[in-house]
Amino acid sequence: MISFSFRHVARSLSTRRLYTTASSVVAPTHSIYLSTSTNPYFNLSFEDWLFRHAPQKEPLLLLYRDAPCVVIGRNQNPWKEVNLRAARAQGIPWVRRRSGGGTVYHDLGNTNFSIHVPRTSFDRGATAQVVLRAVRALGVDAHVNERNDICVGGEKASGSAYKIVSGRAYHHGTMLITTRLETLGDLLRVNKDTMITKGVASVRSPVCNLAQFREAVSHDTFVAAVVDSFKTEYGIRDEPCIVNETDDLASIEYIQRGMAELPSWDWAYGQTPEFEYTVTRSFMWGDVVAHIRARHGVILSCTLQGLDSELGKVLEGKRYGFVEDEEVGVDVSGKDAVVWAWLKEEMSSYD
Amino acid sequence: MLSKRVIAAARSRAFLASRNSQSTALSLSKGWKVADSHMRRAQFHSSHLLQAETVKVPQMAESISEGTLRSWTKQVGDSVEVDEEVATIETDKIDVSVNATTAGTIVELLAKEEDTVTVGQDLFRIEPGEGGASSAPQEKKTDPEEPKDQQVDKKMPEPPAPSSADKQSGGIPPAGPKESKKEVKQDPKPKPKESKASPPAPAPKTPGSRGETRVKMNRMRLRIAERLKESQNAAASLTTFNEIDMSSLMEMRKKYKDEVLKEHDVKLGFMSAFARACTLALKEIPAANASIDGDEIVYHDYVDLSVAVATPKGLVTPVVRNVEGMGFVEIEKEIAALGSKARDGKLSLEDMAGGTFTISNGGVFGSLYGTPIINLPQSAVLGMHAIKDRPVVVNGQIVVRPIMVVALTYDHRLLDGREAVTFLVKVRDYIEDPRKMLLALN
Repeated sequence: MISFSFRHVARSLSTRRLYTTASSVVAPTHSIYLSTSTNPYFNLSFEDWLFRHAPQKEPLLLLYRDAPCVVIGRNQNPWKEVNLRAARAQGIPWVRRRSGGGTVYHDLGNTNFSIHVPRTSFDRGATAQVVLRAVRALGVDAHVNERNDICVGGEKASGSAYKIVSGRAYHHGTMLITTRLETLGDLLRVNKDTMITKGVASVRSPVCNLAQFREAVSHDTFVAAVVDSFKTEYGIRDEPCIVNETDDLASIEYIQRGMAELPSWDWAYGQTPEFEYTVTRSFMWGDVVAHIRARHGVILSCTLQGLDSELGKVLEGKRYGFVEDEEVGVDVSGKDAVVWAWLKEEMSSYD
Repeated sequence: MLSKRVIAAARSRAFLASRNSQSTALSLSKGWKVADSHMRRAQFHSSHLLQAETVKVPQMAESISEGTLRSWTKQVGDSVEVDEEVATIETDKIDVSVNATTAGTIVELLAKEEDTVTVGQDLFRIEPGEGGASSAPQEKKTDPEEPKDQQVDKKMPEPPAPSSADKQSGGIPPAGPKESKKEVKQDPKPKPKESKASPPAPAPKTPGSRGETRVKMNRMRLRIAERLKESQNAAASLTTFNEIDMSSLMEMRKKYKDEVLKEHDVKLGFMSAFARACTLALKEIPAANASIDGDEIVYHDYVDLSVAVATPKGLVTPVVRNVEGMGFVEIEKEIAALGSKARDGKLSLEDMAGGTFTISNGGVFGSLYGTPIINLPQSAVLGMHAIKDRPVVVNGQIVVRPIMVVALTYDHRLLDGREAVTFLVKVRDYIEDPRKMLLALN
């Protein structure tokens, strides 16, 4: 395995010389990385690459920020967690990450940290303390709650999620510094009580920005504080390595694949666990109750009470939220058309 | 013997193996090393398990003991490399990847998506080795086994092992000599074993053997065990007995069963009579139809009868709702429908929830006397037993009558002895003269 130091970036080395065989030949050699990219697909893929390829026994820290986006947990239901219409209206994408847990909102006022450790030393309390110490060092009187989230007073300033694979584990999370909290509220507010999902539901809490308590807190000061806290905790002396999406690094096949996978239908929607959605609407001729069941983003069944039609059967096997009018083939003048228009709206992914 | 699927799987693995020969050799040797050590440990298990390794739910994080199995990344029959992700479990914001401990083929999945799984629980079975059904390593496996296991393995009957046995028993000569039997069992068949593990029955041992088979209790059995213990602990259970002269009811049944079968397409049994008799008696002794909730007694205006049905997986008690409004035929129909649903394994949780009184029939198996156990939170359960012809005294004469012993186990916290006995006596009176049921106030 050729170790490649990113400090002396791409300029001196040609891409072709590095990639003789698989991308895993290039391995991360630093302990602290700062990404200046704000592309969530890149940052998540880069994080995953670091996770799978860094030396197993060494702790590693990554810090990054994303342009506005909503990030849902691995096993969540986007239709239930994200206000897709509001997101569409504001041009804000949503992404499914690889770790568990709930939904969060990222923007440039939010800084993400990611601490990777060997699986055997994985301790959520300890990693939370690393970040807490940084926050306290900035002068904010924060504490950790029973869910390992960093809070100030009764409000959350950070949400965490974790991932464990065979030899490694990571704790990553958000830190709200100057995030637009109203946008956060808008995008995460979904009124779908009649959607019952087998996936993970987010635990809603009131949130706050660190900058509310200490104006001097910013992305840069927070990053510096976390780096210090991390170095102290694990006895690291490396300086952070700064990484950019335009580096050679970004052309590593593993990262490219990740960036292509994250927005794909199969990952974004196809990972949704089974859910049921019941909706009712009064039409001129009476009420129609639709009971839709879907799994992995595909409609398993759709029963319609109050409408005698094949519409329900036609929807079976189609992608929930992505059914085109032509696929349904309804008679424009009939009841079916009206009911279909309503169902399409209810299921819409606004994509 | 070798199904098309097995052959196809073997061919595809061989193809992959030839394409990727370097890593194959490595994983092959590693796979065998691992498989070998596992096999020596697994000597006293039914033979097909000798080849498969069981992977358990790994340790997840400090103080976490269980999680939800979110998805199977690989399915039965899939080939995996060592350390490849096979499933993901989620618990408390952690996404945990469960990886293959060795390269090989997934042979069995031991949990369903969305199941709650605990750390250390068996999760899936993998057969080590890079497939290809190569016979050479297989024979190596057989030889060290032969001398040690010759004796023990003989005792393990093939059928109890799940479907692999179904495939294997087709190939095993019914009464073959020891060696050939062994050979066939050890045949290089890295088959995908489809069905969920049903616990293999404990093997009948010939005198002198000292083996044992450990079988994990399945979910259903664990739940049954839990509820039974709960019932014993909570209720102050006592049982009162009585005998019923079944002659009148049997005569009625004989007279009308053909007609009922023709007209209503359902068999007229005794359950309907007992259900009706119990319902009428419950109306007069409401405490037997009640339950305790905290410090309150809840009296129900309806009778939901739990009828105990034995299924291959264990005892289930589907509920017939609002029996007080049903006649004999309706009751029989409902019970028949629930019975077939139960045997097909299609009973839903709602079908089994609730119930204000239970009737259990041990008689079909030949039981004479017995004390049924209460189905919490109900307050009583009626147990029916076998009908036997006995000499009894009627009007000073000794006659032979078909007699059934019935038992009522009741919760003394709710029902006193007098009420329990009165209840049972009423049921007896109704059954001994079904016409009395017509006179009862509905």
